[in-house]
This record gives sequence, C-alpha cells and structure tokens, in this order.
Amino acid sequence: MRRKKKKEQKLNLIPILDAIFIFIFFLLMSAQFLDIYQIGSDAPITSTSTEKMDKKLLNLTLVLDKDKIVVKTGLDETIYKTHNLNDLAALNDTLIELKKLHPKESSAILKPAQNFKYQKIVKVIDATREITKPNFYITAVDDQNRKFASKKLFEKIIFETH
Amino acid sequence: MNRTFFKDNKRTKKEPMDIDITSLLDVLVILLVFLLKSYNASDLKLNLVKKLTVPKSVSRTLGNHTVIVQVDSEKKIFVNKEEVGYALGAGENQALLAKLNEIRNGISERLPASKQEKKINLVFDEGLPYQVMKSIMHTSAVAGYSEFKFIVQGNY
Repeated sequence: MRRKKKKEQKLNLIPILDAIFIFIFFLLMSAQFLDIYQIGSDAPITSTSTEKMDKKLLNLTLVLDKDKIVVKTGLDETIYKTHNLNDLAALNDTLIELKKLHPKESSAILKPAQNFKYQKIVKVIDATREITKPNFYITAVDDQNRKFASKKLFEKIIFETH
Repeated sequence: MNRTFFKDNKRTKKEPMDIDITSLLDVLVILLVFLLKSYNASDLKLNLVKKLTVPKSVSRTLGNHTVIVQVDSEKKIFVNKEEVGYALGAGENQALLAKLNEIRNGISERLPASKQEKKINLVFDEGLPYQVMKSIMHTSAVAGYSEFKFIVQGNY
C-alpha cells in the first residue's frame, strides 16, 4: 500500500503579525528616546514657632564651595566634616554615618556658591539622596518605628534661596 | 484547428503564492523588544530646546505633566517651549513671573488655593551657575509653584 503524501500544514501567522504591528505603532507613538527622570525639591518655608526648639535636631547643611563640600550639623551649624568636591564617595560615607545616628531625619539643606555649576549640584544631590555603594544597605526606621533595610539617605533636598 | 489552439493555451490553475513571513516576524519581534525596553510610563513629554544639555543623574523617579520651564546655556528662558526672556542677575525675573501668573490664572482660576498646581518642572542646562537656578526657583515660588522638579536624564 502506497503511503499518501500529506500536505504540509503551515501555521497562520497573519493575526499575530497584525497584533505586533498595532503594538509597535502604539509603542513608537509613545516612545521617548531620552530617559528623563526628576529630582524633587521644595521651596523653603519660614515659620515662627514659639515652641522650644529640639536641640537634637540634625539640621544637615551642605555648603558647596568652589572645590570643597562642608558638612554642617545642628542649629548652630557646627562643621562636621569637609570633603573635596571630587571625592563624593567620602561624602556619601559621612552621610551614611549621620543617617545611622539620625535614622528618622530625611532632609538636607544645600547652600551652593553663586557660580557653582548645576551639573556638580546634581552629583552632590545624588550622593546625598542615596547610598552609592552597590549591595550596601542601612537600617531605616519608619513612622511606626519598624526597621527595614534601605539605600535611602537624605531624600528631601532644600535649597537655600536667600 | 481552432479547437486544438484553445486546448493548448488553456490556463493552468496556478497555486496561490506563499510568502515566507518568518524573517519579517523576526525583525518585528526584535523591534518590539527594543521599544518595550525603552518604554517610559511617565506622562511627562519633554521637547528640549536647542543649546540645552540635561545633566545625568542616578534618580529613577518618573516625572509628571505640569508647567515646564527650560533655561538653555545662553540663559534664555522658555515656558512650555515659548521664549519669555533671559535669566540675568539675581532676584525675581519679571518676564517669567508674568508668564507663570498668566498660566496660573488661565488654568486654575476657579480652583481653590489648596487645589492649585504647585509642581513645576525645571530643566536647566548642566553648565548654568547656581545664581541662575536661584533666580528661577525664587520666581517660581513667588508665582505659587513651590514644588520644584529638576529634570535629569538617566545615567547608565
């Protein structure tokens, strides 16, 4: 008995192709080839308070000068450490140290010099907001005193505009 | 004779042409993967002005749609891509303040103060000095936009 030659069956790819075309069109229309993100910062609010000031307040202030970064703490702005502008890793280490001492603090005040370049300010902000070392976490505390591992340092950046 | 002629020239039934679309499908899938990888869920659509280089950052917070102020390397100010003047000197920039007030009055005239938009997207050229930034931030805050969103580009 001679075997009947079976017709080769082909998969119908046309509906898949239609779907892919629609998908590509949608993605092309919404594509943004420049990856843009944002860094949030609030304008400083001044208020007068009659309450007794808490002396344990960190009041972290970073003074950005021509080639150095002065880290100041406390309401009397005591100099904590001074770093070279090119050594942002050392600044990050200092901020990790401060965050460990004040886990509930999340603000940092930036005081750049008048001619300080925006690009450098962004680099300092990056080193202030997050731990730059890979696979390094610190213990943070939330509002309900629960501990968790985090890479966040001082997320709220406030510029001194006066 | 006629009969023979027609018999010889009888149209032969052609089989439907089969196009091989596998290679096309391969290309489309590659394109799809590339587009999916570069897809950004942010509703902020930014058309950069000329002579403006956005600084790079490690920040991964997506932007939102609101008023966009751009300042290029020549200190020219643009509000939603419309040129309004130059950022010269410290203090309030009157041209920018007038434009921001106009936008605020046009959009949210009927909204209560608490519901008015406070966010503003600030796009500065990476080479600008802090003095210019300070002037723009101060003017924006005076116009009621006190939540500054500095636009940066992803650093890989």
